[in-house]
Amino acid sequence: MEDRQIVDLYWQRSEEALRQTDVKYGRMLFSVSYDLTHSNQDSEECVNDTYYKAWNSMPTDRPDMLGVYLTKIVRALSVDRYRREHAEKRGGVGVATDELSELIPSDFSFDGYIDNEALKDVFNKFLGGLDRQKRVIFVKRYYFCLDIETISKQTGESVSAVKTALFRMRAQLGQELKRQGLL
Amino acid sequence: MNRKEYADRLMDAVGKIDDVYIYEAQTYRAKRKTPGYVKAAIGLSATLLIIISFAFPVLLSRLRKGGMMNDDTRPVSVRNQMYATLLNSGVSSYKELPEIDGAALVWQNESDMEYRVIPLNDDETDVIMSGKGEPAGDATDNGVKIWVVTSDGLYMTPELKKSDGNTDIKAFDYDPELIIPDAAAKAILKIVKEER
Repeated sequence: MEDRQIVDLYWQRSEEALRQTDVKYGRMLFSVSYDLTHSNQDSEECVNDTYYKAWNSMPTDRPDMLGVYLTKIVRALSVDRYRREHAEKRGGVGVATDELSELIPSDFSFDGYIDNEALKDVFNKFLGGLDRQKRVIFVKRYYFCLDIETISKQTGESVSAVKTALFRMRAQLGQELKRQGLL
Repeated sequence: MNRKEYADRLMDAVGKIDDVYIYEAQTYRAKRKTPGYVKAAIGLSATLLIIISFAFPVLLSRLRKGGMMNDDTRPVSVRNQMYATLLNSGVSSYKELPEIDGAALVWQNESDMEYRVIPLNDDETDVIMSGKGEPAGDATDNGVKIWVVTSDGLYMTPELKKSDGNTDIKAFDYDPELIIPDAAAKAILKIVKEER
């Protein structure tokens, strides 16, 4: 079923919307969540919570790309779930967060206000300036929290090439954050 | 805000990137690298193509010189059909060449050295003797000798050049020089099949 038709079902408050969502996107959403949480139980709960949130948000939302819309919801839920329940970092969100923290000085301390919108804009501008291959690698690592080996297979690049690309992109991102006064 | 908290904020900011980048990463498919054996096959095919494109004209030229193709570069099936038909026809044969009144097609099978004769009209004579055959060089003897006798009593062979020495059936040693054109072969074939 087309995304547009599924969204129409949400707007019609038809429970068929949830069934069709699960058929079309259930496996993908579970996979995204699992890559972040590394837990079957947590992933199942995050996917169910995603359906609940989607039901409550449509209407009023009418996304053009339903898959991406749901992905954003499940990612946010999965990251929160991971942070809440896992003190010890063992992959997924933890590893990706650790890598991003490398561009932050070790003695960093900030008492002021950091605008979330400004951070988002920096990321979007940064990604827009990358070539497609590098951008895909960055998003797969820090949005989807995939491991290096999986990214290597999915992009056709060697493991060392992926690691090198990520290292350089983190350095570039750090410079951009400093330039914007956000670091 | 400490380092860890800021890193968490960065992860949250990543979660808010434009939909188009998320969609791009989800749907990205790496370019499949062509396997080595496919590259080798392509290289070999290209090499063969180049060789054939250079070698084919040379081969064609040699086939023409060898008499295996006519000037139309079509296969020799019409001529072969003609020779086969002449060799296997049921037309009455003569140990000695008979008296011929008017135009005629005469041929002699080397298997029995006997002559066979079919009367011709002037149009048929013209068709058989018209067109220029390609010089055959060392032409293959097809086991049959062919003559066209004109209404003037002149013997001419479609397989020999038109010269005075080649117009007397008994005055020369028959050795094919020319390839019979397809039109002439077709005409002979038709005439013999009708078995007039």
